[in-house]
Amino acid sequence: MEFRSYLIRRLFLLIPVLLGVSILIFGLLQLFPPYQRAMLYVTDPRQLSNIDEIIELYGLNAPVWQQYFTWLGQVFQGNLGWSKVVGMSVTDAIFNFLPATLELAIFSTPIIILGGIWLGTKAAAHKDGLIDHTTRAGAIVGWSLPTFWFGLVLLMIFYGYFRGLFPPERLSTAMSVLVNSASFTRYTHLNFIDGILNWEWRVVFDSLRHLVLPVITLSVVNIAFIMRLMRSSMLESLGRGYVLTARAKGLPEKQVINKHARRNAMIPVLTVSGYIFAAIVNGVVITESIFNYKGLGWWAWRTAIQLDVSSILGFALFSGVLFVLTNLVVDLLYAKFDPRVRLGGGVK
Amino acid sequence: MKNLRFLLFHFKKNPLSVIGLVIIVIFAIIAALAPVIAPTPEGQFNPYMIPRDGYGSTPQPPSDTHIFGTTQGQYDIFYGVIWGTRTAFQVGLVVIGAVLVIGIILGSLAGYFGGIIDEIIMRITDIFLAFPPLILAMAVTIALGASIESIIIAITVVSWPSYARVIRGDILAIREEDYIEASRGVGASHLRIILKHILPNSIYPIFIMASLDIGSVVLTAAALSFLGLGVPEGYADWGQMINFARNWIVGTPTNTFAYWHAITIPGLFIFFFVMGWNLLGDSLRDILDPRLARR
Amino acid sequence: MKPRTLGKFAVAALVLIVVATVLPACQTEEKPEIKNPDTFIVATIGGPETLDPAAAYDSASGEVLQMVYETLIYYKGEKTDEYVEVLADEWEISADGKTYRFHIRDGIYFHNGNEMTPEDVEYTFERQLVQDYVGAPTWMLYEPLLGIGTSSHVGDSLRPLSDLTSVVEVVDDNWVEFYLAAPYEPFIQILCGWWGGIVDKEWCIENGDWDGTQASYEALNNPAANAWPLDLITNGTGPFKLEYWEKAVEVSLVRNENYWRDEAPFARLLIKDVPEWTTRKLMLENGDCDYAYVPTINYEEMEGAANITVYKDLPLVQCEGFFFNYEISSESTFIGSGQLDGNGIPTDFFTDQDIRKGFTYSFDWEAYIDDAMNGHGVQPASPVVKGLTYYNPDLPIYSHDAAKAEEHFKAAFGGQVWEKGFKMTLAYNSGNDTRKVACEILADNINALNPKFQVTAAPQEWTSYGAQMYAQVLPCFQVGWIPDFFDAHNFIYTWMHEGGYWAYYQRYNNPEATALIEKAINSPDSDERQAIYDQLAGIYYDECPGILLVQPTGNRYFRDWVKGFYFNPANSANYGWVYELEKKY
Repeated sequence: MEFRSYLIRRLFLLIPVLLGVSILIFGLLQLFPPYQRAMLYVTDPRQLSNIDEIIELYGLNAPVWQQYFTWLGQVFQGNLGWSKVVGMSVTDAIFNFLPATLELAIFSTPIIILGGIWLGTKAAAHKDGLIDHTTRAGAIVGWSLPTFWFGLVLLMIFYGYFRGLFPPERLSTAMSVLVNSASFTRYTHLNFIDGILNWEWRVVFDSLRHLVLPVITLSVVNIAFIMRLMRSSMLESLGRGYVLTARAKGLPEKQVINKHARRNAMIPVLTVSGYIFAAIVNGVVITESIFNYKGLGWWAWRTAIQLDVSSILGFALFSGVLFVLTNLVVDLLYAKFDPRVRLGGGVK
Repeated sequence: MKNLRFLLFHFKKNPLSVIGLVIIVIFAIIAALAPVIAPTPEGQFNPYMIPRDGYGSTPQPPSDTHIFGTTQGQYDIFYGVIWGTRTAFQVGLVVIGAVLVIGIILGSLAGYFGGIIDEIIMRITDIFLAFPPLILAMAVTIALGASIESIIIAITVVSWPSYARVIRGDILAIREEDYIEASRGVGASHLRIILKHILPNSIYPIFIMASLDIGSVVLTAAALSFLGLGVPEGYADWGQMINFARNWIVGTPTNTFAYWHAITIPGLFIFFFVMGWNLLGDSLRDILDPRLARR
Repeated sequence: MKPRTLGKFAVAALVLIVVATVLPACQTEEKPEIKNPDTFIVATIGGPETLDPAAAYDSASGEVLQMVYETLIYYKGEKTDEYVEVLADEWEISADGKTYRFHIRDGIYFHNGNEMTPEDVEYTFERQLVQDYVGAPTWMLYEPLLGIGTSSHVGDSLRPLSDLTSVVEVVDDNWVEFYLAAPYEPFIQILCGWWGGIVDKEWCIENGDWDGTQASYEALNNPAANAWPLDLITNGTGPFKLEYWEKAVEVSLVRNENYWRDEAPFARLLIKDVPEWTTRKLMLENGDCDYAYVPTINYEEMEGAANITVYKDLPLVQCEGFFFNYEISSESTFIGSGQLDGNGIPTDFFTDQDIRKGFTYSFDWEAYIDDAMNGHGVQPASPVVKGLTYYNPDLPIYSHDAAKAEEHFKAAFGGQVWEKGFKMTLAYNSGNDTRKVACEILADNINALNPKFQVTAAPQEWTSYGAQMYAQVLPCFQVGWIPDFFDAHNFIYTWMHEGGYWAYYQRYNNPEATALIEKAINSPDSDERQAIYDQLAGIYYDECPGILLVQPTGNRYFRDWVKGFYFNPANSANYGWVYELEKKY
């Protein structure tokens, strides 16, 4: 009962946030002069000769609130405009590029979270020891690395020097032709999974080969973040009464750390899942642009540098809504399963 | 004051922080002396534009005239990284300053008054925090056009809400303390209470934490310029210099690392700059976190 | 026994010697194994915008369409003024130049198995006139068939359908005739473009395209962007058929097994969109592609690359121009005060011929072509550049001359310009170094004449550069032109006709030039046309409404196992006509 009212309260709070998100995006759109907003509807330079007609047609000189509702109405119909850069509607583009990014996220997220937790635990368990100092130094280095530079250096070595060992893009030419051929069914458009489902190990292997560098690039910075968080949370947890009790009872140190201390120390890590999501989206834009890995991030980058306004705002809106929903789910799960959380006014 | 001495004590005990401080001081000196280290060629109006040696595209290796070589478009790398240090400090300091001002004003309003004001301000922060920061920053930058000011505004727009929230939380905690209740009891005005009692007690950890974020602000700014969204072409900026180099990672048929200098040098500048702040911050964070400080 | 053993030894020794001498020779000449021998792989930038031959107006779409669809006739080899029969096997032009007749070949089938008929040919052109999408190449059909400046609209209402369907007819079974409004010499070239690719009437109607009725005409006229029935699907008669098109990734074409001529030399043609130069370069070096697009600025680093064949300095039929705006918008931020007071320029600044000449004499072509173009170009004398019919190599050209520039600036606005000075900004689209250098050369040379002259150069984002050009905000702009067909008309119209694309945006309006252009294109007499185009070149030289910057040349980079390339500027694919290429040593 209590959880249900919490759920309702959270869902209710969602409305003003989502409305605010749409107003913010629309506000950004207003920073462009009418002739540039008209570009959203232009598909050929020849149309520019009657640019006033376009401005008139789409009401770009109408009062702002009126334009907002016209625009919002379009958004609700799933119409986010035309993505000139890739020649399809923004909505289609999002669905078209999503699988590639999902594939990247499926491999990176476990590495980031599990790797971070593992390293953080190790460091805390050996506080001020060699492992602690090494991982902490590693975390500082990782945390300071410009992702985009790190990715380029990896490419310089593994693509330039080792002639194509780990290449950019998603698939090699032969495999790309194979997955597009009639004999290959693209169930999910995640090449790795489709390869397994079609029993084509060459596709699986090829897609993994292309994922190595992007996954490393995406993971390094974020592992450092989780590791630091886990370490301090673990240190705190190790100082707690129940851990001391467990130790006093003479339980092996390994068991104390893994069973008693870590379980509780992981809660703060879970609460930052939303942050990790945002960090991955941020990282994806940079990583995909470096490796020419054609996913959502690559598309966002290409459209941003070509001032494809409808695409970049459409992507911002999409990732904003997704982010809000992710946070909601995390909070709800957290509320449901962590008995320590007071429901009602106490959270947030 | 006691806190500060405690801080300094721990600071001196931690060699990593000292290294971080040294790195930052070196960068500060480079920035201050930029006109001496890399003098602007005569007749050039804007010192932040990197001088070019011709219009050819292929980066040239280090030589006597260009000690770090040139990058794509024959921009002098040495000049670019030296003046880029100034750009980095500018972006970092202005953003942190702006974010603190906005964060303190809105955070203390929300925390002190609570109720409807708190609710409105917090919902606004929710909206801004609803975006992955880089994505929102990209959208703001392209809406404002390519300039260093756009980058500063964009990063400020995406960073102020988290500061406002932290400040609000601290103020909420202090508000309940006895001496605040006492001053309220003797009829002190709201403004007086906030300025005289609440802020001085909550501001200094925030101030230090914020300044340590300069590293990550500069990293975000560099990422934007790397993506080609930040500064105008040829502006002294580390991120843009890496963007110039991205077409040259492969080298020539005979020498794989023919253009290593174009990519490595600006990258190392960013790396060390950010690491300086992070080294300084890593131990300070531990010290400032009261729960961990006792251990 | 002995002799035989000896013989064995002798043979063995001989073999050894031969092997020992030949082997090293083999090794030095040994070439890397040909990768993907049955596939031709292209690494280029950008992909098609649409696969509808009536709507596509970009070369990336054209390069796919030219493989899938076929035209009645096509340019012969490297020529742009000689033709070979393709879907037509015979053709003739009436003596008055107004009727074009084509005899349609028998026994040709579309990819779906339907037979190609003269009705399909008639339908192809009527369908385009009916659709008349505003950003499409359809104007090239309207101009000869219905007259200069026509479209599917007369005023605000639709032109009667019968107007459109009466200009092309099937006669005597296998003959198709086009009836022109007036003689129009380049019409035959227009039919060679991909917009002349013949589509299957039955299949088009099945897929929702124009079905011949008035209602369908009204519904499909100027349809919304990419809402065309044929936007994503193809069905031509060409040597390749579409296998798949993954937007922003690649287009895959496979061999048409039932092609009416010899089958294509490759089972597959793969056109990949690879925006990163590094990746394209490595693909070419590793043999993972057969052709890669190399930007002009990267020519230098490709010098000496192994296993690459380079075709150098190919004469591109293009022209880059610098245009003076005769009616600058008063809202412009590039003209300072907007007055002739030494702090700006008036909006009619460039209506003064002395100003235009002062600018022109200040431009330094030598520095520009050497520095900004790395020597890859020549200075044009007229908008009718080399490679177009009626090109004349003997026309006068301007050259950098500070003394003459000074003389003209002193004369401009009755001497006021020289006395008061002026201040303005030349904009270029950011990232385009060639245009940037052109602005800088002009600025430097003009500022050197008089300390009161303050010309600066400033970058603008491409989209806003375009929009500012259309809004008359830019005092000067730089743009280029790529030919639709290879007749002087295509360029001279763009540069000098009041409705021409660039002339219109600079508000250059010379009634004499406009009349001459219209007279020339509808003249059946080639001597008369030559005389008029030379006269027009003279007008451009005297009035100087713009600076003709450069006609660029280009290089093409292939793996050395690719044979059979020849350059025809009409081919929208930079790698030539894949049907005639081969992969072998």
